Amino acid sequence: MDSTPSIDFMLHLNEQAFTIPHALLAEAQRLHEKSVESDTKQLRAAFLALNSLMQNDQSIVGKESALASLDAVMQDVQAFEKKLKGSVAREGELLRRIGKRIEFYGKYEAARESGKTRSLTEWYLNYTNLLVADYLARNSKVSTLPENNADGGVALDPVNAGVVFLKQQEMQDLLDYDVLLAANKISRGLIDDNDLEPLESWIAKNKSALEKEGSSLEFYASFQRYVQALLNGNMTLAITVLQTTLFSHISTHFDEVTAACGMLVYAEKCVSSQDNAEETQNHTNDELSTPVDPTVLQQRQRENAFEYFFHRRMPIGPQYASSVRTASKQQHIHPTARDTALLVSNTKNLERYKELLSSKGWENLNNMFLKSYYSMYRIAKNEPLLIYISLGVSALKTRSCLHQAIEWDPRLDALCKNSRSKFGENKCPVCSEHFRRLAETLPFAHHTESKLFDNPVMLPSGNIYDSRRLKLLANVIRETGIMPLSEHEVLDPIDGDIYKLDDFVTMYPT
Amino acid sequence: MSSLLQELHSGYDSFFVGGEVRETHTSACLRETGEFRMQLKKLKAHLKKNIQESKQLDVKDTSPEGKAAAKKLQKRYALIQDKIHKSSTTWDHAVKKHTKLSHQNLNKFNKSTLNKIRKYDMDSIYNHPISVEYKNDVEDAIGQHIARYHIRNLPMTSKPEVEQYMKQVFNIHASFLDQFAELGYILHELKDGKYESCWKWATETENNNNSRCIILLRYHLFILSCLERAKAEPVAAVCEYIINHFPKESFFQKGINFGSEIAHLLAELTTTGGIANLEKLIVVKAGECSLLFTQEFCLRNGLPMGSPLFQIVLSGVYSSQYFLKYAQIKSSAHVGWTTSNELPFDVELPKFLPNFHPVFICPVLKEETTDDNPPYALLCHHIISKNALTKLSNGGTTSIKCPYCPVVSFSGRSQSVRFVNLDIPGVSK
Ligand SMILES: [Zn+2]
Ligand SMILES: [Zn+2]
Repeated sequence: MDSTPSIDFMLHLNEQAFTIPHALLAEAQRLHEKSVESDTKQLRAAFLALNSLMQNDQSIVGKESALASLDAVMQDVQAFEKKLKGSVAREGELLRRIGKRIEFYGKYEAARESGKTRSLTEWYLNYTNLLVADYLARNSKVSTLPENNADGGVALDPVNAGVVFLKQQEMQDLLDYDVLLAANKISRGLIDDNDLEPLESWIAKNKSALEKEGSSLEFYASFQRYVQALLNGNMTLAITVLQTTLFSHISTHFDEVTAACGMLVYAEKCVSSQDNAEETQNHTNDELSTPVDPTVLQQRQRENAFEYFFHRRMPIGPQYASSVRTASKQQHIHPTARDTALLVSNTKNLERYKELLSSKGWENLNNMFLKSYYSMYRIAKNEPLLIYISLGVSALKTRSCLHQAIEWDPRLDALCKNSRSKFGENKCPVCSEHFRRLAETLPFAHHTESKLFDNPVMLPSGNIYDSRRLKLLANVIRETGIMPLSEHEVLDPIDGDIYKLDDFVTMYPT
Repeated sequence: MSSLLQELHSGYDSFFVGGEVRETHTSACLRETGEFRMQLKKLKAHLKKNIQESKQLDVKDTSPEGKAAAKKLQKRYALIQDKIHKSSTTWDHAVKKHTKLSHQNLNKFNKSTLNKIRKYDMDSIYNHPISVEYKNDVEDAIGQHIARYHIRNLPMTSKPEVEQYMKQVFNIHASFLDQFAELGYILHELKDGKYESCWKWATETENNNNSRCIILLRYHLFILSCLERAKAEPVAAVCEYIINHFPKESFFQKGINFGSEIAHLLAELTTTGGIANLEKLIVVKAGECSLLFTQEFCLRNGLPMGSPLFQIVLSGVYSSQYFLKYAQIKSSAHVGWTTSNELPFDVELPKFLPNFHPVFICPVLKEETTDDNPPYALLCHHIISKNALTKLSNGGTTSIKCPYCPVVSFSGRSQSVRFVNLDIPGVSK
């Protein structure tokens, strides 16, 4: 049996093609059950009331009020029916996905069984296109502008290169692009716009699932909101977030919560001593003329860090200002106890704050989100396309790859009359323009057996070719007349010398 | 059929219930709700009628007839009440039942089908992640891939339109499109069953090299043209066309049953006066032409048969088997991935993927030769690596007995050699 993956292997490899629609079906089912439960409860009560009304009051007035309540309840039934229609449509769409995917992998099975290379490569080409769509859906911009195709379609379908590609390949049922786009949108919100809202609403929707897996995502989202408030100078919001959200996580995120408090103290000082700017200015001038001692240096580091974080000069309170000034004379500081504690803890934590306040915070939060999101659907966190590229490049990468191209006799370029290509251009995908750079960092393939061509013959130049092809080349040269070559001669296409067939040395490489 | 695929099939089927109407439990819910609503509508009409009649009834009429009429109305009213009550509880139970069954179905599908499919964690074999610094390279490769295969599927064909569209939606450079523009245009035409532009290409003198591939292409294009004609022209005209125009060169090709397809076509046309499944046949035939044409076009124009992205992904899928197996062994043996710059296992790639570079493994040292350690030919024309030569000749001081034959060689008389793949433009392997 050859190495063509079995259908079972392909199904294992693509479990998400079935697990995602199932997860979405389960989600839809939950919604369906919820509405069934509440709506039928109401309807049951209404029918009970109607029943007792009809039982107890058979006067015309009673009958008329029964008619009115029957009318009302019928309207409720109709509303419920409408909701059901929505559930059925959603379920139908998701089941269709599963059906189409079974069909798709069924085609793989058929192509594999048929042994036809053409059917198999065609299938794999579709598969590659699916991976390309997956990559684009995850990485390309998502805009909600209406798609500009004439036949309408869904007016507010998100425009994303991956989705457009899928639809034009008529493969939209084979990829749960909705799931990928949702992640893409939240992700872009975080990274491009520093917008927490999409993430927060997703967290709110998936609270129980996140809690179940012990995720810290909610905490870090709040933490980021807090950091953002600090950076914007919105102290009221920062304190609210700190008190209402962060403090409740102190048992599990002690370090972060204390760091948050530390950062707040910096910021508070900043707000409370806005009017010290003048003094700060003088102080800076003073400092230039005084010899630098370690404490002053430490103080200066703090100031730099503060400016770095908050984009404004560090406020120097009266105690600080005087203590730093005296420090240069007396060689030691008498700050208040509170400030000493701060000084120590802050210098120790500076590096940490730096990271928490930098754009890395958004990246980390995004990574954490993607991890939770994809694991919820059991989707590979990394784009499958990139995984396969990494694997595939290694499997193809030989020791001859990425070297300088062979220099063929330039006279042979005349054989490529209808194209811009040169004779014998390297077709190796690893050596190709877009893969050679990334291939450099990847491991080589492992070979225990030579992989050569048939009928190897050596010319006196030491070059070994397939003798059949060497003769074929000589024929083509004679036919096209690009150079004179007699019947029993061949051209060494590299060194350009002409040899006799008698010069062929049959080789036994293995 | 594979067992897993079969499981999926039956798992999928179990979502659907009912005999004549294939429906899910949720759609059964909807159907029964609809039926219930219709029933209520009927009962409402009865109720209305009952009220009407009650109003017309003379309350003072104490005659036996009057009493009987009142009693009848009362009885009917009770009946309506009973029916509303019963049908509402029946409906309520049905909705509950279907909802519960739908829930159970989903659980069952998960437990008995999906659990068998869940097996691998793809992220676990991503040992050498592609760094973000190559993102642009990857995206260019995607662009080229899309240009290579996708241009035929576009909603427009004019060059500036195509260029603008590809740039806007996929951010693809015009230079990529250039290479594939003609290919894309002809494929686009073929997709619609239009063969003329492809026929023109295949009969242009510079493309007419009478290779087997081009003769095959012309033959299939001819059949396609016959099928197209059969759509619109009378049988006699089509037959005449076939007889007068079929490419006779095809009959001289060995090993292909060229005549029989034409004969079949003629027979079917003359006996039944038409061709069954004509539309479907045209699609199949156009597909065959597309593949042959692409093959020949790429060969002629020095384009790779598949896009590099496709070839790499294909190799990636094939090799994932080995990576996953290795990861399983490693994890059970509690060993980490080796840091060497070579994969720790052989990967068998698809047979139809060519060896892009010759690989020579020294039969003595079992290592792949490199620029620094090239292959050397001994006097007997057996080949070993330079390192092996040095080793066997004790650093070039002694003669070497060939490891394969009795011939004795000398390192000074061994020749450095190089294996070269020879691709000839326009000639397939
Ligand atoms: Zn290469
Ligand atoms: Zn030998």
